[in-house]
Amino acid sequence: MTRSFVLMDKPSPSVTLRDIASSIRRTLLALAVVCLSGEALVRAPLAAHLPAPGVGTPLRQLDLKLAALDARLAEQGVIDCIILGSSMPLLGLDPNPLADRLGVECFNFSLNGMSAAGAGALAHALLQRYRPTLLIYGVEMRAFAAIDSATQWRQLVIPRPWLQYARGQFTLEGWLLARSRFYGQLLAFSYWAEPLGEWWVTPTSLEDYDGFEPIDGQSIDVTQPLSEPELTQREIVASLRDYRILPEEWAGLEDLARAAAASGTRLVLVEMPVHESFLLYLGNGAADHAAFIQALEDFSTANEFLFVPSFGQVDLPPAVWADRNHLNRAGAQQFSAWLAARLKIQLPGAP
Amino acid sequence: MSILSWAFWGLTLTGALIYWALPAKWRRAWLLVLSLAFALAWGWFPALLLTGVGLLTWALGRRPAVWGPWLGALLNLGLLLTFKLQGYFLEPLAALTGLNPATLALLAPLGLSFYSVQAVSYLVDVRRGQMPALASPLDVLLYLAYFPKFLSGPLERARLFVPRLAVSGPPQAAQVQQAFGLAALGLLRKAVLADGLFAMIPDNAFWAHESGLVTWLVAYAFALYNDFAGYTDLMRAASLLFGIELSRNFEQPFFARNFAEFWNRWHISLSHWLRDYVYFPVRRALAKGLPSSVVLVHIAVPPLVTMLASGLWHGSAEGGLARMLLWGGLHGLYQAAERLPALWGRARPPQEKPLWLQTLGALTVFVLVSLAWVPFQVGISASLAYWLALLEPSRWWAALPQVWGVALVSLALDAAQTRRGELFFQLWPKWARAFAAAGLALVVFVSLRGLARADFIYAGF
Repeated sequence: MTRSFVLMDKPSPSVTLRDIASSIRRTLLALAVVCLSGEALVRAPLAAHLPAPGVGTPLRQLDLKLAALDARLAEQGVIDCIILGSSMPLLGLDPNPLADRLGVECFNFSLNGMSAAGAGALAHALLQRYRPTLLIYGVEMRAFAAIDSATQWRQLVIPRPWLQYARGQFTLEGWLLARSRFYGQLLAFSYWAEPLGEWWVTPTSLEDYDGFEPIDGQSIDVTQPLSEPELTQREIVASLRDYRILPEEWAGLEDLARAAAASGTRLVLVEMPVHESFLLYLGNGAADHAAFIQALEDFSTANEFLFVPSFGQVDLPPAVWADRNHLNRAGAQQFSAWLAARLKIQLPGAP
Repeated sequence: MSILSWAFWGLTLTGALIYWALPAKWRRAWLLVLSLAFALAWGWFPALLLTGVGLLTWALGRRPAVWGPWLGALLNLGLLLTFKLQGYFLEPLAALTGLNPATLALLAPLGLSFYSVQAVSYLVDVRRGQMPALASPLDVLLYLAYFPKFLSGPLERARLFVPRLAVSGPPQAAQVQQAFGLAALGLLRKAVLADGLFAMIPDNAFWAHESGLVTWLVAYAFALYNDFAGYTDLMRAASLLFGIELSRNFEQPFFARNFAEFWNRWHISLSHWLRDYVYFPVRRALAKGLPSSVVLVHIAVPPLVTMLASGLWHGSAEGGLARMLLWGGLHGLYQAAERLPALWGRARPPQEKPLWLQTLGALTVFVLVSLAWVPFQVGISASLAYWLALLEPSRWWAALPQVWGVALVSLALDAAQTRRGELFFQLWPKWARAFAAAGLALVVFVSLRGLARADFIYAGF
């Protein structure tokens, strides 16, 4: 007969079920030894050479910002201020002018695509962990709209055990992350298939990182009318054309306000600037924008915190726009300086 | 239901516990219930079609003296080709009938490519007198539907597989131990090595030829291998929990020193099916119909036809038949070219060659096999563009050292299996095994957490 089938090597007939049970016990013991040794090793100076630990979300950017804040807390003993928001404050809020004018050391914890619900969930974890005196939330219309990134945040980030644990809901992973550095280290290695430069970032290399990630130049000349691709291909277009504030995103803002109140942190809402041509995306143009601003004003008044609108208040020349709703490096410096000046006036007794 | 899900393994373990608690005479019936339930998890249509094919195959196999088996084989192949090629005749048929093509389209049910060719092998073997027709429809149905091999093989022969179903007595500890070993291997290959590599390959790697062309080829070769080999190991482990052994599908294919050897090491059960039901019949037909002086035809045609049949099996109108035929044709040409030295006398088998020639042979096979994976991924024009782009060495590499690390781990695993046997680690001292298992558990955990699990590639065929 031709060799049609290849079966296994012959099994050892002497194995018993008791042997298998012993093997399982030995493996569990070995696992315990490996985990305890790992815990000891990552608590030793070795940790400085390992990638920053993870917290089990799909966002490595979040892990790295946490590591940078941890390093800052270890060095300074206190965190003055945290900036939260999406790509708009990530690119557009420079902590340096705030430090110069207000004497407040801010860390920009903005993350790409972060919606209001994401900011609310994250605020609980951050305020609990770092107890800053000031929380600046860079708001924008997209953070409350039905866009893909918001859906992803609601489905993939907000339900993660670490964030749920921070809200007081028991999760095994949250409990482990609160107690075991080795577990966080394991989660850091879950990015191993990504390019090394994107995840193998040691905490020591983050010591001078303030979370602000400016970009240079312009991808769009904002003085030109909206082009056909801008109107048809951009993911945000449909959600802005029929703009409405999603209740689940608004609940995120309420959540954020509750978190700030519970931790005694002063909350400031800052409208991140958009170029006037951005309003052309909106079905009802300026009216949609005005309604959005009014909702924020009402909310901030009711909850007794400061809201700083920026549209029409700050003069930003065309050259400082990376696109219609993102500032470039020069724009970030101008806007942040303007904001610092406003806060100096409107935020008496700022830290 | 993903094979890496808790649901699959929970159902398998529960099914195995019930299986062993049952009297031996009820075990096959229970396996059939489990297998049909598994098919139902993919939808009622796959389960219904599978049952229909099984009953038809049983009924036609019962008439070996007359036309039954041939008709059955033709019907099975016809069914397979109908699903694969329907994309070509849907439009004309829709124009003819006035119906919407979407209404006419039949969704190719999962597992069809695998169980239909197994039905053909059963019927042909019965017709050839190599096995008696199975008396019970339950046996034929279970042979086709057995859930650890239903989705993606291995392709078993009824004459060898059905006797293995007669499991009596209590579970054997040695088989349980082997099941653990195979599951560990399968997890390492599938969840860590394959899914890791798939996560590294950009979606557009094979048609936007910027850079990293060689890196992506190497990554894809090792990903595909570990994906399918890991899947097979996991399914063999699941099957061993029922005391039933499934065939190996891979034996260190990247150590093959020529193409004939490669196809005895890669997707072995399909290769051997093609050899027995395509290659040998074609060779016999040529030997009968053509004078032996036309040596080139005798050498080139059987492998070409066989590998084109393999391309046809892998392809479909929707997924791209032409590119799969190109892939198969390339492998046919490789094998035909490899046999050319036979024109000038006896070719030396690879093991008789010096080590450096064996190594060169293995490298050549790897490079040519990897180049042939391009049309396996993308269309013909994109493949040509990729091959042309490979002429520029400046575009060969991507800055992803992990690809080479994973490839090295995969090769080291293969080397250890070659030297010490498939489950080489079971020969290690007790505590070494325990620490290796603990380390593997952590690595698998980390990988499963971080990697977007790639769909198992062969489930698409």
